[in-house]
Amino acid sequence: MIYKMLIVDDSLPMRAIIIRTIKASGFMETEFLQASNGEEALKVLGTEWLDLVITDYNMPDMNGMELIQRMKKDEILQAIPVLVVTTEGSREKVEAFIQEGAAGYVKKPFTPETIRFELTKILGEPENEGSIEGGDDDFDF
Amino acid sequence: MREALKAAMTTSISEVLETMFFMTIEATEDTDWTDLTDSTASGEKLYASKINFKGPLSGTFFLMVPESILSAMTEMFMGLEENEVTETHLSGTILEAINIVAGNTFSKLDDQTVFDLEIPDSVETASLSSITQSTDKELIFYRIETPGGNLGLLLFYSV
Repeated sequence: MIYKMLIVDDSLPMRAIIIRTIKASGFMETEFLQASNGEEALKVLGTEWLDLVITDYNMPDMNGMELIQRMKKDEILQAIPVLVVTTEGSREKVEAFIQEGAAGYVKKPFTPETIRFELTKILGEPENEGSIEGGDDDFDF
Repeated sequence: MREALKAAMTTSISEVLETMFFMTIEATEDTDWTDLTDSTASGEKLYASKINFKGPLSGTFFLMVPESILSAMTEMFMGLEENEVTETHLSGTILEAINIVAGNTFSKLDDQTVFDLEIPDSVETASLSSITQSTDKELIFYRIETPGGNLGLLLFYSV
């Protein structure tokens, strides 16, 4: 199955490493869209149907929590699962993300195994199994 | 508190550099970082980033990285070849690095407490000496030894 995911993070390097990590986790056929904050993400969500949104928390203009809240208020967008990938590590913040409707949470710094575990929990096992030890894109952890 | 912060900082920087940048490091507390900020002494451009935070403690983390090490970190982080690395990639990498180090430090310090991190920003390295001389806050500095040279992690804070 080909998935379509939106990566929302104000850091270009972080978007790049999340994409590489997802590919190395076996989701190699995934199509990726990118946004640098919540507002940009909502614009993309207005035009594209997605299987998953992966968002940072701390971003300018609209943070990840506000993005989740806006999505959960929308009849259509509320069906799209959201995975939060962030440096925020306090239990209170993690619980708040889940309470607002996040499907999962990954704390930075992350390992490919953590990303794979959360993706599999949300989307199921990838059909095209990749190797975390490397892959077609020479990604070695 | 100071000892707990120091322990959290060293664990955090080791974890972040090893997990995300595949670098093994040795962190040593120091009081003098002028060799890092003096580019004429090293002959190499220095990049620096900062992130302000508020909570039970408030203050600023600074990360100082010489260009050659930052370039190697960026190649590793983004999966780029040396000739593909741009100024945008370098600044993006050092901003994300300080963001993760700061967030991870507070998780290690106390995961029951919320610390609000601002958006990370670049720092003019020429201003680093004056910033550090004019503060009345507590200060912790770690020299981070890597196979490619030294980085600096600096924290100003007040309770």
